[in-house]
Amino acid sequence: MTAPCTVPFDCKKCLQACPQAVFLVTAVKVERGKETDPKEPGAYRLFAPHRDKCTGCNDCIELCPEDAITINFPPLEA
Amino acid sequence: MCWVCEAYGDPEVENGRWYLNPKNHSRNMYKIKKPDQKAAAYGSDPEAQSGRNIGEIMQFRFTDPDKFNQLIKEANAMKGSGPFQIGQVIPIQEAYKVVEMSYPVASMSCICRIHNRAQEERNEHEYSCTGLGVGMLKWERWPERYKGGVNFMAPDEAKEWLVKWNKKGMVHIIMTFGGSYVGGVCNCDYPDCGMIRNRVDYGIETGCLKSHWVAKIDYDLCTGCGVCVQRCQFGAIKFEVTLDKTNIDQLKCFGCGLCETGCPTNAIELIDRESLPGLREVW
Amino acid sequence: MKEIYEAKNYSYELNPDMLKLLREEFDVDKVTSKFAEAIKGKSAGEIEAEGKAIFEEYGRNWIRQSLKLGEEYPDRTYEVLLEAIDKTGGYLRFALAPQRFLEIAYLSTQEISILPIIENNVNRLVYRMVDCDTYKNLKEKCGEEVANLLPCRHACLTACETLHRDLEIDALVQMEAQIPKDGYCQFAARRA
Repeated sequence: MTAPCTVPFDCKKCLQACPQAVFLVTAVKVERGKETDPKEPGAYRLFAPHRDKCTGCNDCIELCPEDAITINFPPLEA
Repeated sequence: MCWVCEAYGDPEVENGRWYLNPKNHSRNMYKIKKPDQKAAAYGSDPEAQSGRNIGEIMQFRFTDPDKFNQLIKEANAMKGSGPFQIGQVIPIQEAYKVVEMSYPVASMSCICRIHNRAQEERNEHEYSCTGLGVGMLKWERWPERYKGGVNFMAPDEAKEWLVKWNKKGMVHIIMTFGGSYVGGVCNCDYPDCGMIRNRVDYGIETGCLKSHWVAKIDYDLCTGCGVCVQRCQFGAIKFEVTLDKTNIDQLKCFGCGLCETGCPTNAIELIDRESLPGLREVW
Repeated sequence: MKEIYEAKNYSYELNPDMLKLLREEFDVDKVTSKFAEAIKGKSAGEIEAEGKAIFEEYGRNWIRQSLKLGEEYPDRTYEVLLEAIDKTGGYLRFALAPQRFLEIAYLSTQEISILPIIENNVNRLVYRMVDCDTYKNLKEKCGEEVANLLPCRHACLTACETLHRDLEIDALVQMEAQIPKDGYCQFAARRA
């Protein structure tokens, strides 16, 4: 999600592990007649459009090789 | 009455079902471009545009939830003229009819699974989506969309292939690609299917309307085995301990027929949604 | 190892040179002028006979040349269509094979950007001409009364029939709507 993640489609660990399927990956560089190379840095981008479904299980954080994911829940009110 | 049928069905053809009306499956192969007209860019198709429209509205969940709810309400009220493509669940029996009448029929990769699970389907053994119509002849323009290509199928092959995905537990959804033009029969799975998810989780109705059918259980034949409970993607079925039988909530049922095709004792049948006064306006 | 797909620089559109050749040879201005010349001072019965003779011949040559050039100038859309026909055992050659040549014929001679296809499936191929240049030309040159007799229908009907016969597809061709009454002409080929 943040800068260190450059090849989300190739890695796909978070995308496939999330029980709530909060992530989405999409090619940001597309050429006519040519398939985007998943290994090309920056050719795909990762989003978390369903983050309202996140339960905070932290599986993605543990799997991410780039430490690119953070989860923020508001603190418990006293 | 189903508003898509009202707008695009022909009462003389197949009970007025819009997706069985041949007119909604027909399109020209070629277009003469004006000299200064450029070829369409990637993502300018109705499917991608619809996806972006949904994405824009979805953003408001985080910034302005009230506005989000208002926009969903408005989009649903606009029906087919709204910003989303139209999709409707159909049982496999009607999917058979679609692959018989539409041409060409091709299997291809599912765009939702690519986006939501980075799941690639690269050959005819993996493809899980059904493309319909002349657009399939031009897939090579955008291999990023049709990863691996498309595999043309004759009707009998297409039916066998639909059975394969039905057995695995996929819901068939007929989708439009611009107006009422039918461009595919998706084989869908919550949560990676955008259409089912948008409907079930966020209330966006247009892309995943309920089918013309609804499941009805015969308690004399039901053994309470629970196969149908596993196959329902809409949370409409549960095991009812009191009766020692399965219970189907017809108000939640989308009429996909997965419970019917999975039932080992043929205890479930699909009945016409509009034959039930309490369901005829539930789409 | 997964392969990254890269297509050749294909063209999916109709070849412009082919369209130009057809446009020059089957100019609707020429054929309507020929008809206007032929009917000068003739009776109603004779007009119908002249129309049938002139437009049937025109229609037949027009579609045969479209078929010939259509094969000589393939495009990627057609190549993939042939692959699809082959892959499905030829079972579904109708309606898309004839549809392609009809689109070539009409797009080359009429000022339209698409040929509206109303139905194209295993049973029926139905298409529509809304803003027809042949009809407009006839109206200008022969007056509305003669134009409304639609002598030009013989061109469209003959073209559609000849096309299916030459492609060895058994089909029954009918005219389902006429411009003077319906605002458009509609032709349907039903597989026999």
